[in-house]
Amino acid sequence: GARPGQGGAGGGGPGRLTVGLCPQEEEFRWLLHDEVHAVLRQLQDILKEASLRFTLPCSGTGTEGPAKQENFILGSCSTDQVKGVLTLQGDALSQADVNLKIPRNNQLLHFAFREDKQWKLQQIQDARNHVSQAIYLLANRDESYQFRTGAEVLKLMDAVMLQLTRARNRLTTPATLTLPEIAASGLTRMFAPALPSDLLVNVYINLNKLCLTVYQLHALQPNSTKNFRPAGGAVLHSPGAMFEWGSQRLEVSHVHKVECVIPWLNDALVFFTVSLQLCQQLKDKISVFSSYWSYRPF
Amino acid sequence: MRCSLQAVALWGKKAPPHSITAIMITDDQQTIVTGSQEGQLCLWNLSPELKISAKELLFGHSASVTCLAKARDFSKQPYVVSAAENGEMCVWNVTNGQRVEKATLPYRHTAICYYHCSFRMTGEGWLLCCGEYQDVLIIDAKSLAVIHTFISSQSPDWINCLCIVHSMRIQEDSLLVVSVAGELKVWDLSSSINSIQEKQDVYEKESKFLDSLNCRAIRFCTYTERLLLVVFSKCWKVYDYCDFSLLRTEVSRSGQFFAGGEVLAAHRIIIWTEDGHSFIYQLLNRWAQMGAAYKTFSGLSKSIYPADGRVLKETIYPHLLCSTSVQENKGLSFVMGYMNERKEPFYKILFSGEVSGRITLWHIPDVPVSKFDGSPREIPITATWTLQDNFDKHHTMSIIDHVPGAGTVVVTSSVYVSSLDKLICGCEDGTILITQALNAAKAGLLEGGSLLKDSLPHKVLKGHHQSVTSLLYPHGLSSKLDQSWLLSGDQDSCVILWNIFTEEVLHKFFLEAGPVTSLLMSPENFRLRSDQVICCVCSDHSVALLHLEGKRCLLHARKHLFPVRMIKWHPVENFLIVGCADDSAYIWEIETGTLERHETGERARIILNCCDDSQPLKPEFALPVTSETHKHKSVEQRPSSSCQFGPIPCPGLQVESSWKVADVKPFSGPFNVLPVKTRWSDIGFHILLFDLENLVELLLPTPVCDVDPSNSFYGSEILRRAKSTVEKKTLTLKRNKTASGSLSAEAQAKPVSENPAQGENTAKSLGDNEGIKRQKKIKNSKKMHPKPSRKVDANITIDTAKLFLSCFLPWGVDKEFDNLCIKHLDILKLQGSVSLGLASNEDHFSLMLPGWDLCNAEMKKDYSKVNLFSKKVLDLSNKYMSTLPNQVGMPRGLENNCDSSQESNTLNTIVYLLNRLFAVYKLVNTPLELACGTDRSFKMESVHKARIPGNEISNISSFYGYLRNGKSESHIPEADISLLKLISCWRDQSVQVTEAIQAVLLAEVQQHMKNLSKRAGNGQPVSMTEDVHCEMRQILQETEWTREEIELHCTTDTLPLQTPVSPVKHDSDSNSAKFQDTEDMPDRCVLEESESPGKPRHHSWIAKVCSCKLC
Repeated sequence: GARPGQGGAGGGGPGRLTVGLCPQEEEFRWLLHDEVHAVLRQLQDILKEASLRFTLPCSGTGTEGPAKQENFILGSCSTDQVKGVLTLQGDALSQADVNLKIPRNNQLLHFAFREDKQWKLQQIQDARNHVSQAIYLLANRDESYQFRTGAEVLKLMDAVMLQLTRARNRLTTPATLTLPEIAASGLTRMFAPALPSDLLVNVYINLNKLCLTVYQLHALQPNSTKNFRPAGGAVLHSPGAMFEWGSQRLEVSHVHKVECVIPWLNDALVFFTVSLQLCQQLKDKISVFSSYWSYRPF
Repeated sequence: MRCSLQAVALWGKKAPPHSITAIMITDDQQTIVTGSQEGQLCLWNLSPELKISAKELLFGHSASVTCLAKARDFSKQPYVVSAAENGEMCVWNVTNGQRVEKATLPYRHTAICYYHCSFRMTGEGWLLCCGEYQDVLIIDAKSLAVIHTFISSQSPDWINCLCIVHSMRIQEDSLLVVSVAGELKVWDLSSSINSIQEKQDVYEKESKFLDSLNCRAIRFCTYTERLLLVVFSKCWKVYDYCDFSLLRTEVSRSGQFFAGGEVLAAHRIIIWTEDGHSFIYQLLNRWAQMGAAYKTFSGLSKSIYPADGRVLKETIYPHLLCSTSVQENKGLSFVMGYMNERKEPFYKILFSGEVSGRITLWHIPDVPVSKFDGSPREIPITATWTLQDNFDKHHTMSIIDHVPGAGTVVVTSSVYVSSLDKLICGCEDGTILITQALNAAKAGLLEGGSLLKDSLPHKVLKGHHQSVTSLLYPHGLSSKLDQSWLLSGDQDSCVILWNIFTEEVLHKFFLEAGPVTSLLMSPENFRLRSDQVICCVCSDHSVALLHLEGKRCLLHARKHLFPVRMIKWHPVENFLIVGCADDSAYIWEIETGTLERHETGERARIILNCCDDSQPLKPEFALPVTSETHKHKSVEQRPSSSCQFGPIPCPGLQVESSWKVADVKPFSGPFNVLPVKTRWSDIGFHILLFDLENLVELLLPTPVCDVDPSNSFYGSEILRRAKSTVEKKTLTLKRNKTASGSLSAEAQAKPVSENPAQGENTAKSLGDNEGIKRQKKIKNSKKMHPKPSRKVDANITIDTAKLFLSCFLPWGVDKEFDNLCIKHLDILKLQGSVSLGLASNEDHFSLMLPGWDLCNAEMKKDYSKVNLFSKKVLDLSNKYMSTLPNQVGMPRGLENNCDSSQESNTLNTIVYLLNRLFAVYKLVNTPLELACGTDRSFKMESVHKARIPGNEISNISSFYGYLRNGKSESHIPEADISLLKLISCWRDQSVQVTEAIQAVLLAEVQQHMKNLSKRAGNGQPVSMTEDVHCEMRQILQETEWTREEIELHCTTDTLPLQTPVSPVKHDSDSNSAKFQDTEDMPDRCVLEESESPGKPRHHSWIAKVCSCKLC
């Protein structure tokens, strides 16, 4: 941003004399009146760009039609046993086709979503909502708003950063679920024909990737000598994890994980990081003058 | 037992910041409750004339408060629930400021609605919550546990706002919500109670897309039962509740954001904005407006309530009647609310709270009308108030006000060194003041204390040129470091190592890294060439490691982009691990000063967490820079939470050392000064903390006496010893010195457990003592622990006790009495009311604000009374007085003790008073359930079983013991039973601890003074007392003999141990331990004495008490 002219402190309150202020104070006024708004505008632009990625209609611009559909082919470099084609419509999975090759008997299993159902990806919805909260916080502080103290800016930045951090964390930290939780989840009931009882499916976002895990299960014999120890919560369970479902004791025999990068999630994450850095830089700038703003509120 | 510390706040001239984020008025219109960004709640008194005055500040949340709501039927229980940014929820009793319940859930709520349906619901009702999660959570209002959720079948999303619709017409309660995407959803409430309780899924009954975003309020018109008002940030809409057809949309002006609204009456609404304006509209019907003529010929006037509802469509338009506004503060964000009370003594109030901490009220007339010319009328502000107004109106002082030369200097950081009773304050002008905390407090609080002003010992360290931002007293953390060292960091990133005794600068470190935000010390197990190092966090996010012995900077880690949140040490690899606010971790090699690794995301989290969990044998200390790190961790560790919070960068007030009172607890000594600093400003204040338990422990010469009823010679014991060692006036306190008179006195003066270890203990450094104490405090088991010897200066203890009495005595009840107190207790009168407070061991404080005592309407006119906690205190005190036996209120010794000096007399009285207070305090503080449980078991006459709860019995018995001080054995103290009953009663009536303490203090002191004056009249002790005295002597001799034996026994027993008796031992020994007081006693003694004939009587006693209580 450009420095103000001599005594210019543009946007200064009416009737406020800027003459006779020490340079530091003058610079602080410029920071509060001009620079802060410049940064806020920049932040808003970035976040609006980010929220567009979530195909969220921006506040005030009215509604758009139904979100466009995107197909993602999920695979893994290590295995070709599982292939998945998932269709994402905004924050919801509208279609899913999963192919599972079982080498043991060369059987090929195929199952798909029911036509009438969608599966909300809570992580995307939450991240989107957090971004729009952040935008809302910023929208209330447009150019016409005059910041009086540095503390005010810090508080606003803290609030915005809180939302952005949460948005980012929602994408970077998938829920850790226990196997019974996965089994009970509505996702297993989404398929038609119904999933075989020895399969579990989980879908989540990890960073910029859409991930699909398929667990193959086998029942533990009641008289099994194996020490039964139910597994705790995890993002990805490993073979050998055990759990109790209904009256049965089950063990994970195979785990297949396939994933696919969602380009716009990548963008969004970059936008979050950039915005967070912008916020922090603004906070740092304000803090330089902390000896001024804490004692002399404008 | 909940234990808590008595606190007195020294606020200073400036009020702590209170940026209001939530506001409500209680149903009785007597209290305004506000929640702040800083995390505190404030209770404001609202007088019947609508005058506001701040009353109490409640500290319980560690993050910004997001919403407030009532949590019970207010007429039955005055409870309010608050929710914070980090998922904390608290239920508060707003009449006494106590926290009733606390929970931390992985949900951030933005709105809460209390729902109770008495005939279908068991329990205390539900809190319906919405926020940053899908759908509506149902939380139990009592336990704060999640009961269930209302789930959506259609497009589940976050919910912005909710309201409960109770329709008289259809006798069904419904829940209306609007999601962030603008979808209106309706759930049946009353008919789904059963399904919810059975955890069945309950889906929405209806939903409708409203086509607007950012819903701020949804309100149902209970007058017409027809209209629905929905306020969005850029428009407000009126719907027909029958079919949700849109009747009217009103769009905001540019730059105007609506924030909420309410229905005032049929067809009359109020809408308010984020910048503090409000508008009252009359909703007019177009058809009705066409005039009477139209009505008569068309007969369409019925169309206000047309049968099919379609006629209403777009027929409503608003007419602005009135508006309200605030001056000046344009642009700041406001939170507003409206309270509609139709009953007579109540008002219709529009209220607002601002970020600046200001509260404004408007009294809305019953029938708002526009001006004659039809233009809107401006409704004037009825009342407005801020915290600072309280501070301006009432005298406030800071702890260093009376330090010579301090003047009006602003304290920017401070630390209290309890071992030296030194308060070290870093100031804005760069000076560091060191003063005696007790004296400074006395000088500020007490009348005539200002005389101390000139003599107040203090030191001024000059070396910084900018304000001192952080202080560290290394010896307080590790006893191995030099006791004279003090570190201070300033705004200009200069860190100075001082010798506080010689006041010289030992070294200056110049870091060139912005203000020093905190100074930390490496843990004991981390050493660099056998020395601990100092870690200095600067505001440019850099971290410097300083080596004090070598006077050099070892490492300056400057690569961090975000503020430092966490510092960890890796002693094996010699790494410094720095956790930043963006969840990244930096690993620095200390020797070479190189950045070894930088990790973000999941890996960083693992690195920062793993040290605690996976290496318990090589513990690595986390020294959280700020308290919220603790809390953040606790949130994140919740298993399988569906919603994980990021770090929370906006904590409110921060206590310098750490936030939690629990962490504050292990201070040594009965007195501590807790500096509190605010986050977004430099305003700070100090809290004086009194540990009554510790104080009594230190003052009591022989706690044994109090435990066993057969030793009821407490008073005469004191008398006797006072006589035998007249020259040693403070004998009771100098029990560490083995130079007292008679054998028995010696035996008494040295509690057994101390005997063997004594020489060592005194030789040991204070830090070790602290360690023991800490350990002791942590254990906090029901059984008592060996009492560690304390090297607390006797004078400090007495001064603390006197200051405590001064602060808690209600002054001005009677002038005569005040003077007697000053004369006979040797305490000074308060200059004015002090800000009393309570610090509980969980993690919350409640502190009275300046002027709190003038809040109560009945006390307003009575300015003579100072510091009276509530009107109730006088009643309680009178009740207590009437129960108090006439002659035996005081230690017998005192009354006969004509020849002993005034000073020891005073001392004994003080000890006695504190003893009583502590007993009362404990009794009142015992949780009700526990007490009830014990009562029940008493009823069964099964004392043996009743022992299991442990604490309660020991409380009662100890109370009994305390009460019996100075009474002869033959007296069966009917009065005591009734006293005990009385106090138990208080507890049941939820009398506050402070109230009880004040009442008892007042009564006891009055009684004492009465006795004194009586004695003065008689000239010599009354004969009856003389008799009793003789009697007592006899028994005394007997007991002395027994005690000698015990003493002998114990000494031989414990000598080889070389340490205080381990508490484990007696646990298994016998069940007699239950009759001990919870506080520390030499256990062996008790053990022996419990076998004395006193025991059975004890039992019958308790049984008696309880049966009494039951009837």
